[in-house]
Amino acid sequence: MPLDVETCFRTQRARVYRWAYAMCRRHDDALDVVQDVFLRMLDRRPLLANPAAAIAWLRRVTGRVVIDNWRAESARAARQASHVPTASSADAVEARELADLLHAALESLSEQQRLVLMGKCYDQMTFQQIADELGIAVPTAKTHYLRALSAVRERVRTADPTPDIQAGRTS
Amino acid sequence: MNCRTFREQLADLVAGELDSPQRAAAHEHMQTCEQCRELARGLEAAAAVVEADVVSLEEAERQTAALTPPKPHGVRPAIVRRRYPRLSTIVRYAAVILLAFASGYSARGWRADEDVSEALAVDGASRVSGELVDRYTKATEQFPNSSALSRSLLALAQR
Ligand SMILES: [Zn+2]
Repeated sequence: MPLDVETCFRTQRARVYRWAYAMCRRHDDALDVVQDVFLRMLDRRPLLANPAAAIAWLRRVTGRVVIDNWRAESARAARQASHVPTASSADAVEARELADLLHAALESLSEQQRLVLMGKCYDQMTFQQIADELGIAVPTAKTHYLRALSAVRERVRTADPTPDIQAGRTS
Repeated sequence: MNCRTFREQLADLVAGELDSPQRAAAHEHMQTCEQCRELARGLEAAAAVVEADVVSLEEAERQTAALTPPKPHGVRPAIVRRRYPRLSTIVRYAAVILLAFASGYSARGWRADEDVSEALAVDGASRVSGELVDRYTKATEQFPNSSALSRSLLALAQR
Protein backbone atom coordinates (compact mmCIF):
# COMPACT_ATOMS: atom_id res chain seq x y z
CA MET A 1 0.00 0.00 0.00
CA PRO A 2 1.51 3.37 -0.94
CA LEU A 3 2.32 5.69 1.91
CA ASP A 4 -0.15 8.52 2.31
CA VAL A 5 2.07 11.28 3.68
CA GLU A 6 -0.83 13.64 4.32
CA THR A 7 -2.66 11.09 6.48
CA CYS A 8 0.57 10.24 8.24
CA PHE A 9 1.14 13.97 8.83
CA ARG A 10 -2.31 14.39 10.38
CA THR A 11 -2.03 11.37 12.66
CA GLN A 12 1.64 11.67 13.66
CA ARG A 13 2.57 15.37 13.61
CA ALA A 14 1.84 15.75 17.35
CA ARG A 15 4.09 12.80 18.14
CA VAL A 16 6.92 14.28 16.06
CA TYR A 17 6.40 17.69 17.71
CA ARG A 18 6.58 16.07 21.14
CA TRP A 19 9.96 14.47 20.38
CA ALA A 20 11.28 17.62 18.73
CA TYR A 21 10.14 19.89 21.55
CA ALA A 22 11.65 17.59 24.20
CA MET A 23 14.99 17.89 22.41
CA CYS A 24 14.91 21.51 21.15
CA ARG A 25 12.84 23.08 23.95
CA ARG A 26 11.75 25.84 21.62
CA HIS A 27 8.27 25.83 20.11
CA ASP A 28 9.26 27.38 16.79
CA ASP A 29 12.24 25.06 16.35
CA ALA A 30 10.01 22.06 17.07
CA LEU A 31 7.48 23.22 14.45
CA ASP A 32 10.31 23.56 11.91
CA VAL A 33 11.41 20.03 12.72
CA VAL A 34 7.87 18.71 12.14
CA GLN A 35 7.82 20.34 8.69
CA ASP A 36 11.30 19.06 7.82
CA VAL A 37 10.53 15.50 8.93
CA PHE A 38 7.41 15.23 6.76
CA LEU A 39 9.21 16.88 3.85
CA ARG A 40 11.77 14.09 4.07
CA MET A 41 8.94 11.58 4.13
CA LEU A 42 7.47 13.21 1.04
CA ASP A 43 10.86 13.18 -0.70
CA ARG A 44 11.86 9.64 0.19
CA ARG A 45 8.51 7.81 0.36
CA PRO A 46 9.86 5.12 2.72
CA LEU A 47 8.29 1.67 2.56
CA LEU A 48 6.49 1.38 5.88
CA ALA A 49 4.47 -1.79 6.40
CA ASN A 50 2.44 -0.67 9.43
CA PRO A 51 1.91 2.23 11.87
CA ALA A 52 4.63 0.89 14.19
CA ALA A 53 7.13 0.98 11.33
CA ALA A 54 6.01 4.52 10.50
CA ILE A 55 6.54 5.62 14.11
CA ALA A 56 9.98 4.00 14.20
CA TRP A 57 10.92 5.75 10.94
CA LEU A 58 9.62 9.08 12.23
CA ARG A 59 11.51 8.76 15.52
CA ARG A 60 14.77 8.08 13.71
CA VAL A 61 14.30 10.89 11.19
CA THR A 62 13.20 13.35 13.88
CA GLY A 63 16.44 12.70 15.77
CA ARG A 64 18.44 13.24 12.58
CA VAL A 65 16.60 16.42 11.62
CA VAL A 66 17.04 17.89 15.11
CA ILE A 67 20.78 17.21 15.01
CA ASP A 68 21.09 18.51 11.42
CA ASN A 69 19.26 21.72 12.35
CA TRP A 70 21.48 22.27 15.39
CA ARG A 71 24.58 21.84 13.27
CA ALA A 72 23.27 24.24 10.65
CA GLU A 73 22.36 26.71 13.41
CA SER A 74 25.76 26.56 15.10
CA ALA A 75 27.45 27.01 11.72
CA ARG A 76 25.27 30.09 11.17
CA ALA A 77 26.02 31.41 14.65
CA ALA A 78 29.75 30.89 14.10
CA ARG A 79 29.57 32.96 10.92
CA GLN A 80 27.84 35.79 12.77
CA ALA A 81 30.47 37.19 15.13
CA SER A 82 27.93 39.37 16.90
CA HIS A 83 25.74 36.40 17.87
CA VAL A 84 24.89 36.88 21.55
CA PRO A 85 22.16 34.83 23.21
CA THR A 86 19.56 37.01 24.85
CA ALA A 87 17.32 36.03 27.73
CA SER A 88 14.90 37.92 29.86
CA SER A 89 15.54 36.32 33.23
CA ALA A 90 17.99 34.17 35.12
CA ASP A 91 15.49 31.31 34.90
CA ALA A 92 15.38 31.63 31.13
CA VAL A 93 19.18 31.68 30.97
CA GLU A 94 19.32 28.59 33.14
CA ALA A 95 16.71 26.79 31.03
CA ARG A 96 18.63 27.71 27.88
CA GLU A 97 21.92 26.57 29.39
CA LEU A 98 20.35 23.25 30.31
CA ALA A 99 18.90 22.89 26.82
CA ASP A 100 22.34 23.61 25.34
CA LEU A 101 23.91 20.98 27.58
CA LEU A 102 21.29 18.51 26.41
CA HIS A 103 22.00 19.49 22.77
CA ALA A 104 25.69 18.84 23.24
CA ALA A 105 25.02 15.50 24.93
CA LEU A 106 22.50 14.31 22.34
CA GLU A 107 24.79 15.38 19.53
CA SER A 108 27.63 13.32 20.99
CA LEU A 109 25.57 10.10 21.00
CA SER A 110 25.48 7.44 18.33
CA GLU A 111 22.15 7.17 16.54
CA GLN A 112 21.27 3.93 18.35
CA GLN A 113 22.08 5.45 21.74
CA ARG A 114 19.87 8.41 20.90
CA LEU A 115 17.04 6.19 19.72
CA VAL A 116 17.15 4.11 22.88
CA LEU A 117 17.07 7.29 24.96
CA MET A 118 14.14 8.68 22.98
CA GLY A 119 12.21 5.41 23.23
CA LYS A 120 12.81 5.20 26.95
CA CYS A 121 12.50 8.82 28.08
CA TYR A 122 9.93 10.13 25.59
CA ASP A 123 7.82 7.07 24.82
CA GLN A 124 8.22 4.96 27.98
CA MET A 125 9.02 1.89 25.91
CA THR A 126 10.43 -1.19 27.65
CA PHE A 127 13.97 -2.32 26.80
CA GLN A 128 12.42 -5.33 25.10
CA GLN A 129 10.25 -3.11 22.82
CA ILE A 130 13.22 -0.89 21.99
CA ALA A 131 15.44 -3.90 21.26
CA ASP A 132 12.77 -5.41 18.98
CA GLU A 133 12.30 -2.14 17.10
CA LEU A 134 16.02 -1.59 16.56
CA GLY A 135 16.84 -5.24 15.97
CA ILE A 136 19.37 -5.36 18.80
CA ALA A 137 19.73 -7.48 21.95
CA VAL A 138 18.09 -6.30 25.19
CA PRO A 139 21.44 -6.00 27.06
CA THR A 140 22.72 -3.84 24.17
CA ALA A 141 19.70 -1.57 24.51
CA LYS A 142 20.41 -1.25 28.25
CA THR A 143 24.07 -0.43 27.58
CA HIS A 144 23.06 2.26 25.06
CA TYR A 145 20.66 3.73 27.62
CA LEU A 146 23.30 3.93 30.35
CA ARG A 147 25.90 5.37 27.94
CA ALA A 148 23.43 8.02 26.76
CA LEU A 149 22.50 9.01 30.31
CA SER A 150 26.18 9.09 31.29
CA ALA A 151 26.86 11.51 28.44
CA VAL A 152 24.10 13.83 29.71
CA ARG A 153 25.31 13.51 33.30
CA GLU A 154 28.87 14.34 32.29
CA ARG A 155 27.78 17.50 30.47
CA VAL A 156 25.67 18.70 33.37
CA ARG A 157 28.32 17.88 35.96
CA THR A 158 31.23 19.53 34.15
CA ALA A 159 29.26 22.62 33.11
CA ASP A 160 30.48 25.85 34.69
CA PRO A 161 27.64 27.99 35.91
CA THR A 162 27.82 31.36 34.14
CA PRO A 163 28.17 34.62 36.13
CA ASP A 164 24.66 35.58 34.92
CA ILE A 165 23.10 32.54 36.49
CA GLN A 166 24.99 33.02 39.73
CA ALA A 167 23.95 36.66 39.85
CA GLY A 168 20.36 35.64 39.22
CA ARG A 169 20.48 33.12 42.02
CA THR A 170 21.89 35.52 44.60
CA SER A 171 19.56 38.41 43.79
CA MET B 1 23.28 -7.70 46.63
CA ASN B 2 26.85 -6.90 45.63
CA CYS B 3 28.12 -4.09 43.38
CA ARG B 4 28.28 -6.35 40.32
CA THR B 5 24.64 -7.46 40.60
CA PHE B 6 23.62 -3.87 41.31
CA ARG B 7 25.28 -2.62 38.12
CA GLU B 8 23.73 -5.37 36.08
CA GLN B 9 20.35 -4.07 37.19
CA LEU B 10 21.26 -0.38 36.99
CA ALA B 11 19.55 0.34 33.66
CA ASP B 12 16.33 -1.30 34.85
CA LEU B 13 16.55 0.54 38.17
CA VAL B 14 16.97 4.00 36.56
CA ALA B 15 14.32 3.22 33.93
CA GLY B 16 11.89 1.98 36.59
CA GLU B 17 11.68 -1.51 35.14
CA LEU B 18 12.59 -3.41 38.31
CA ASP B 19 9.85 -5.21 40.20
CA SER B 20 9.42 -4.17 43.83
CA PRO B 21 11.52 -6.91 45.54
CA GLN B 22 14.41 -6.19 43.15
CA ARG B 23 14.02 -2.47 43.69
CA ALA B 24 14.03 -2.89 47.45
CA ALA B 25 17.23 -4.95 47.24
CA ALA B 26 18.87 -2.33 45.03
CA HIS B 27 17.93 0.48 47.42
CA GLU B 28 19.30 -1.52 50.30
CA HIS B 29 22.63 -1.83 48.47
CA MET B 30 22.64 1.91 47.75
CA GLN B 31 22.35 2.64 51.47
CA THR B 32 25.53 0.76 52.19
CA CYS B 33 27.57 1.52 49.02
CA GLU B 34 28.30 5.18 48.33
CA GLN B 35 29.81 4.55 44.90
CA CYS B 36 26.75 2.73 43.56
CA ARG B 37 24.47 5.31 45.20
CA GLU B 38 26.26 8.22 43.50
CA LEU B 39 26.21 6.41 40.19
CA ALA B 40 22.48 5.69 40.34
CA ARG B 41 21.59 9.20 41.56
CA GLY B 42 23.69 10.79 38.79
CA LEU B 43 21.96 8.75 36.09
CA GLU B 44 18.52 9.46 37.56
CA ALA B 45 19.33 13.17 37.51
CA ALA B 46 20.41 12.86 33.86
CA ALA B 47 17.15 11.07 33.00
CA ALA B 48 15.25 13.90 34.72
CA VAL B 49 17.09 16.45 32.53
CA VAL B 50 16.21 14.51 29.38
CA GLU B 51 12.56 14.16 30.41
CA ALA B 52 12.21 17.71 31.74
CA ASP B 53 10.30 19.14 28.76
CA VAL B 54 8.30 16.17 27.55
CA VAL B 55 4.78 17.44 26.86
CA SER B 56 1.64 15.31 26.66
CA LEU B 57 0.39 14.14 23.28
CA GLU B 58 -2.74 16.26 23.83
CA GLU B 59 -0.62 19.37 24.35
CA ALA B 60 1.44 18.49 21.26
CA GLU B 61 -1.82 18.08 19.34
CA ARG B 62 -2.86 21.60 20.34
CA GLN B 63 0.52 23.07 19.42
CA THR B 64 0.49 21.52 15.95
CA ALA B 65 -3.22 21.94 15.13
CA ALA B 66 -2.60 24.89 12.80
CA LEU B 67 0.15 23.19 10.79
CA THR B 68 -0.60 22.31 7.17
CA PRO B 69 0.83 19.24 5.43
CA PRO B 70 4.09 19.85 3.55
CA LYS B 71 3.86 20.50 -0.18
CA PRO B 72 5.48 18.16 -2.74
CA HIS B 73 9.00 18.80 -4.09
CA GLY B 74 10.04 20.43 -0.83
CA VAL B 75 8.31 23.69 -1.72
CA ARG B 76 7.42 25.61 1.39
CA PRO B 77 4.74 28.25 1.14
CA ALA B 78 6.68 31.44 0.50
CA ILE B 79 6.44 34.52 -1.68
CA VAL B 80 8.75 33.94 -4.61
CA ARG B 81 9.39 36.99 -6.73
CA ARG B 82 9.83 36.18 -10.39
CA ARG B 83 13.09 37.58 -11.73
CA TYR B 84 12.23 37.18 -15.39
CA PRO B 85 8.91 37.30 -17.24
CA ARG B 86 7.24 33.99 -18.06
CA LEU B 87 8.46 32.26 -21.20
CA SER B 88 4.90 32.29 -22.60
CA THR B 89 4.86 36.09 -22.22
CA ILE B 90 8.14 36.39 -24.10
CA VAL B 91 6.84 34.10 -26.85
CA ARG B 92 3.60 36.10 -27.09
CA TYR B 93 5.44 39.40 -27.47
CA ALA B 94 7.87 37.83 -29.94
CA ALA B 95 4.90 36.65 -32.03
CA VAL B 96 3.29 40.10 -31.91
CA ILE B 97 6.53 41.80 -33.00
CA LEU B 98 7.05 39.23 -35.72
CA LEU B 99 3.50 39.57 -37.04
CA ALA B 100 3.47 43.35 -36.84
CA PHE B 101 6.83 43.62 -38.54
CA ALA B 102 5.95 41.07 -41.24
CA SER B 103 2.53 42.60 -41.97
CA GLY B 104 4.05 46.10 -42.13
CA TYR B 105 6.64 44.78 -44.54
CA SER B 106 4.08 43.01 -46.76
CA ALA B 107 1.73 46.01 -46.93
CA ARG B 108 4.07 49.01 -47.15
CA GLY B 109 7.61 47.74 -47.45
CA TRP B 110 10.05 48.34 -44.54
CA ARG B 111 7.99 51.07 -42.83
CA ALA B 112 6.96 48.85 -39.97
CA ASP B 113 8.12 50.90 -36.96
CA GLU B 114 4.76 52.56 -36.39
CA ASP B 115 2.88 49.29 -36.68
CA VAL B 116 5.21 47.60 -34.23
CA SER B 117 4.78 50.29 -31.61
CA GLU B 118 1.04 50.32 -32.20
CA ALA B 119 0.83 46.55 -31.92
CA LEU B 120 2.80 46.58 -28.71
CA ALA B 121 0.73 49.40 -27.26
CA VAL B 122 -2.43 47.29 -27.46
CA ASP B 123 -2.89 43.81 -26.14
CA GLY B 124 -1.94 41.02 -28.47
CA ALA B 125 -2.16 40.76 -32.21
CA SER B 126 -5.83 41.77 -32.56
CA ARG B 127 -5.03 45.19 -34.05
CA VAL B 128 -2.35 43.95 -36.40
CA SER B 129 -3.74 43.98 -39.90
CA GLY B 130 -2.87 42.10 -43.06
CA GLU B 131 -3.24 38.67 -44.52
CA LEU B 132 -0.66 37.24 -42.11
CA VAL B 133 -3.15 37.70 -39.34
CA ASP B 134 -5.68 35.60 -41.22
CA ARG B 135 -3.06 32.91 -41.76
CA TYR B 136 -2.13 33.14 -38.12
CA THR B 137 -5.80 32.70 -37.17
CA LYS B 138 -6.09 29.72 -39.50
CA ALA B 139 -2.95 28.20 -38.03
CA THR B 140 -4.46 28.65 -34.60
CA GLU B 141 -7.61 26.79 -35.68
CA GLN B 142 -5.57 24.05 -37.33
CA PHE B 143 -3.10 23.62 -34.47
CA PRO B 144 -4.88 24.83 -31.34
CA ASN B 145 -2.19 23.39 -29.06
CA SER B 146 0.75 24.98 -30.85
CA SER B 147 2.63 27.94 -29.42
CA ALA B 148 2.10 31.50 -30.61
CA LEU B 149 5.63 31.52 -32.04
CA SER B 150 5.14 28.35 -34.09
CA ARG B 151 1.82 29.67 -35.43
CA SER B 152 3.53 32.90 -36.46
CA LEU B 153 6.30 30.97 -38.18
CA LEU B 154 3.68 28.82 -39.94
CA ALA B 155 1.83 31.94 -41.05
CA LEU B 156 5.07 33.41 -42.43
CA ALA B 157 6.01 30.19 -44.17
CA GLN B 158 2.64 30.14 -45.99
CA ARG B 159 3.34 33.46 -47.73
ZN1 LIG C 1 28.06 -1.00 45.20
